[in-house]
Amino acid sequence: MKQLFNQLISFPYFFKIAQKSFPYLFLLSILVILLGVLWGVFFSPVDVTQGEVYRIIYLHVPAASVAQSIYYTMVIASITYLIWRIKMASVFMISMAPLGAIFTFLALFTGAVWGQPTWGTWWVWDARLTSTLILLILYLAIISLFSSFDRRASTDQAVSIVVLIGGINLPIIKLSVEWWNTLHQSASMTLSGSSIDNEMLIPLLISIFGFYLYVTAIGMRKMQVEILKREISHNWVKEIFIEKR
Amino acid sequence: MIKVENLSYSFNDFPLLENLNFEVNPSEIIHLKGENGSGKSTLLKILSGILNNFQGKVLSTAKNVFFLGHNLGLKDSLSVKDNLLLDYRFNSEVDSLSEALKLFELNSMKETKLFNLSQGQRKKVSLVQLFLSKYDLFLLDEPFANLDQKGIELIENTIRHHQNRGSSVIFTSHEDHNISSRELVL
Amino acid sequence: MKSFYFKTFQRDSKVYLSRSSSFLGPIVFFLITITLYPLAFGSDEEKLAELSAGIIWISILLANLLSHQFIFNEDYKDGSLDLVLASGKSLFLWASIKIFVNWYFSSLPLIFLSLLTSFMFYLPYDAALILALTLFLGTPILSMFGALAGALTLERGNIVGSSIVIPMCLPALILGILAIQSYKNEELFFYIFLLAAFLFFSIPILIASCLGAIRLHFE
Repeated sequence: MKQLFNQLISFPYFFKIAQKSFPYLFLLSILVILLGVLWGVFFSPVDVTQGEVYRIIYLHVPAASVAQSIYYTMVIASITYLIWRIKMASVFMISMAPLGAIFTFLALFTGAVWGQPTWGTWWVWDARLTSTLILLILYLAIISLFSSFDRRASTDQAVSIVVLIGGINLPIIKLSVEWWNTLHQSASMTLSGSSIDNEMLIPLLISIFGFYLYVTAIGMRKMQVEILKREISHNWVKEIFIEKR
Repeated sequence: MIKVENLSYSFNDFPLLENLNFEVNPSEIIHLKGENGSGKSTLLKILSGILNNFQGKVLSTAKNVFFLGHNLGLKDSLSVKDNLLLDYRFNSEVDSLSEALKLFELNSMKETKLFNLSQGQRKKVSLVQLFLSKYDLFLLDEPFANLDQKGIELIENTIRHHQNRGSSVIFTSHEDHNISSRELVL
Repeated sequence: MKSFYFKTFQRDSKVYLSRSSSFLGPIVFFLITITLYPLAFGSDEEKLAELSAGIIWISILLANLLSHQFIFNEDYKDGSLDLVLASGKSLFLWASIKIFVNWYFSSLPLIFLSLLTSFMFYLPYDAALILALTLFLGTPILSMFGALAGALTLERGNIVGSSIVIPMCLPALILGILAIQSYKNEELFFYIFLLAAFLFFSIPILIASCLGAIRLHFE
């Protein structure tokens, strides 16, 4: 177990594994997403109250789920980096933050598209939407840190600090946004509580699974690029590319 | 006073200092030489404890270290006197200040805000600090830059004065100075 | 001979006092910002009274951002930070003093000013006192996050810093506003308590992070 971990955090080993597994993982993720979304869009029953438009949840829910999960994995990576100085952890954070931002934006966008016909408005300042917007801002702030330093190690450490502080703060922000929300308006537009039919749930779960696979695949690819940027002068990189030729 | 073993330091994977070994004895004055970018300032910063991400060993018996950097650590909006008295390195008696200021011909500017001073005068202010402070080890980055001949002599005397008290001095300079007991080329 | 920490306090205080821009800047910015709100939203008494707490809190949040760059950035540029690191002293207290002095000169005047200006926005007297209390608990949090952002971006500008500070400070803003809005209810104590707890836990975490961030520039 420990040996496997040590191998995974070594750049050359990870690079080779990622190089081999990326095409399969990527293809698989596309297939799973297609399966989930197509099933959801064409074969699952119509929602009684919302009609056909609800089907955007097959994109919205997975995107929102992925957007949050990426942040939590980044927090774990930041702790790993700050304690053990494992370079792979910072490569992970720097590669995943842009993905997190994209999926957060996607979640907000699909949410707006869903909200328009359902509630007659593109945007409501409810707790969930507001904290998702803050998550997006946080991702963008982290990305803007990438170019603030002359030293790579400093960038890594600064990003870790901000990710960690943000990670501690994020639940507090969420909680306070919820209190703010309950004081200002009745929470009428929340999803929670409304039971979801099994026939809708299964394609939704498939779609979520597909999104996670996709993020894993793209994340690995981005990590490979980041590793190349850092290790370009190292021999193992040259060996790989000479072998290729 | 200080012993350096296999000291290496790199910036963004670019090696700046490689496998340095040297020793500084008490009452010794070391002239640190080298081209621009050879890592003179970096070495002084490592020895003073500002940079600590290096490989190798730095063993020091100095109880306290005086550092004079390229940036002088002076506040533009404070007067000459405040800059000296509130400097972290100031460890002398307040009374000794005015005498030192007279010696450096800064007495009339005691209450002048620093932003009114020229580059050379600022340098002199930080050298008053050097003159007044009592430390075991002095690490001086370009103490002679921006100074006229009179100022240079004053600093040479100051360094000798500290040497006689048993302190060691390491300084960087591009010119030759006959005060140094030893030259160290990077 | 004065101690290292006393020197830090005195030196920073003198720097703030000698430069009108560093402590007048936030005040002017605060006054101009709160003037903008009635100009933009109209002078309707009821509407302004409803918005007042938020207006003052947001204006103070923004005005504070101006001063955060002074905490560590200048010391970095003029070489004072080198001397601090070379001194080998514990930096935790040093950073705390620097943040406190910054808060004292840039936030405390604004808190008093907010008491005065709350009447211009028809905020009831009791609520105005709660406003001052929430600002008293909340502004140190802003200063510490500002210090952290400044410490992270010592070499570069301030824009990156602000974009980190504001989202991090949201709980303070929300709790502060909630406390003011429930100034007649018992919930007030709940929100004040939470705000105080947020401050309490922020101090060690954020100051330690500041030191870590400063160290990044000296590796």
